[in-house]
Amino acid sequence: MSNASFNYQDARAVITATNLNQPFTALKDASDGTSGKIDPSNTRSEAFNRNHFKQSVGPNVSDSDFDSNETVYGFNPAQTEVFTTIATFPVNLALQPNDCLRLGSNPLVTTTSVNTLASPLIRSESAFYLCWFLTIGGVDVQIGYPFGYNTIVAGDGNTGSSDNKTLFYERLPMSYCYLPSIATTVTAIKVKIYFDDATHYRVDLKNLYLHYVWAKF
Amino acid sequence: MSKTYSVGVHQDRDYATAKAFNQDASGFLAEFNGKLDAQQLPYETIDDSNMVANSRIAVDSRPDGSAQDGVGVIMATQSYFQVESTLNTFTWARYPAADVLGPPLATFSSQNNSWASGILSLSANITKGSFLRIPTSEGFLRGAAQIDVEYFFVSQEAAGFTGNFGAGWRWQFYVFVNDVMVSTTGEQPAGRRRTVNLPFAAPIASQDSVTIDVRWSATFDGAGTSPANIKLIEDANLRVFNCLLWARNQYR
Repeated sequence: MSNASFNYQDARAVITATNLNQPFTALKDASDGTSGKIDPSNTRSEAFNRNHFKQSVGPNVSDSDFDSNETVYGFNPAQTEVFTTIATFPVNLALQPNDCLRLGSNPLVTTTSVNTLASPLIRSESAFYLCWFLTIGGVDVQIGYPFGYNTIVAGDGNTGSSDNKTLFYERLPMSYCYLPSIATTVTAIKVKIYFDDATHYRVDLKNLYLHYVWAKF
Repeated sequence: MSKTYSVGVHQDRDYATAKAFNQDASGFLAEFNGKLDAQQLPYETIDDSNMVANSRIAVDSRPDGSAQDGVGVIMATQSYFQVESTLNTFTWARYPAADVLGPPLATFSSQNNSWASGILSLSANITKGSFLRIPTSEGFLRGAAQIDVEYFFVSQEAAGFTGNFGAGWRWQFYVFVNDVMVSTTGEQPAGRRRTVNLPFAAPIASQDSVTIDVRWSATFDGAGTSPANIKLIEDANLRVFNCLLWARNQYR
C-alpha cells in the first residue's frame, strides 16, 4: 500500500518550513520507492485500459521467410535421417519464466517423385517430417515433436505403381507454444525437415510464413 | 475524472495560511491516495514488469483426470495451455523393412471392427495431446489442434476395386469445446499420411473447467467393399502419430 499523509495545520499557527514541505516529501517518498510506489491502492477501479499497455516491439514476422524462394529438399542422400534446416528466423528474445513464445509457419509444398529404383517406392522411403527448433546458447534445441507427411499421395503405397504421383502446392500449417519454466534467451527460431530416406523424392518448399508472438502478460 | 486545484493563490511576500495549506495538501494527497485515474497514467507504459508474475499450473490431459500432462501459464491479460504427445524416435520397423517415426500412438484396424460408429474421443486411446481441461476467464478461447494421421487401406490389386484416393474412404477430425464442435477437417480422403492443423476460436465464460477435446470418425464405404473383391494389405489401419493441442484464453 502506498499512501501519503500530511500534518494538519491548526488555524492561526505559523507553518514551519518543515511542515510546509512535508506533504511534498510524503508524496515523493510514496511514489519514488522510498516508502512505496504507486500501486492498486492509489488508483480507482478500472483505471487502466488497453491503451496503457506497452506495445510489443516488432517486427515478429520474418520478411525473408514470409516470402521465401522455393528451395528443394530431399533427393539428396545426405539428408537421410538428419534434421535439415528449412527456415531460420534470427531473433534476440530474453524469455522469462512462464512467458509464451507462440510459433507459426505455413510452408507451401510441392513433392515430386524422382524414384530411380526398379521397383515402386514404399511408404517408409517417402515420408518426411517437420519439427520446431530454437537456438539457445548457440545450440539448436528441438522443441516439440516431429509431425509427418507422406509424399505418396494416392494408392496404398506398399505395392503397385503408386509412387509416381506429384503433389502440387499444398500448405503444411504448423503451430506451437513454447512455455519455458526458466529464463531462456533465444537467438533463432528454426523449422527443420527430416527424411527417413531422402533419396527418392524431392520436396520443394517456399513462402514459409514463419512468425512468432511473444506473450509476456 | 481525477483532478485537483489550488484554492489559495499565493502572491509574492504572502505567507501561507493554515486553511490554504490544509486544503491544497488535502486535495492532491486525496487524489494520490486512491483516486488516480486513467488521465494520470500515460499510455503505453505498462508492461510485464508492472504486472503480477505469471504462474504455471498443470491441467488435466485425460477426461477422467488420471493424467495432468497439460501445461498452463496464467498471465494478467491472457492464459496459454498446451499438451503434446512425445513420439520422437525413428525406430519403428515399418513394413516391409525400414524404420520410421513410431510406433503410432493409436491404431484402428479397418478389418476388425475396432471402432464404434460415430464421433469418438481421441483421448480414449491417446494419453497426451488430444484433451485439455482448463480454467477460463470470460473472453475468447483461441487455439489449434495438430494431428499426424494416415489412413492407407486397400490394395489396388483388388480386381475392379476403386477404393483409393477419391473413393468413399474417409477420416475426419473435430475439435469440441464443452461438447460443442468448433472446428473440423471435413471428410478427408484416405490414401496418404499427413498432418492436419485445426484452428479454432470460441467465446468463453468464466469457468473452472472448460474441456477441449479432439475427436475423430472414419468410414470405409466405398464401392466394391464385398470381401471377395478386396485384397487386404498388411496395414489396413487408421493410424495416429503425434498430437498437439494448445489454447489461448484472452480475457475480456
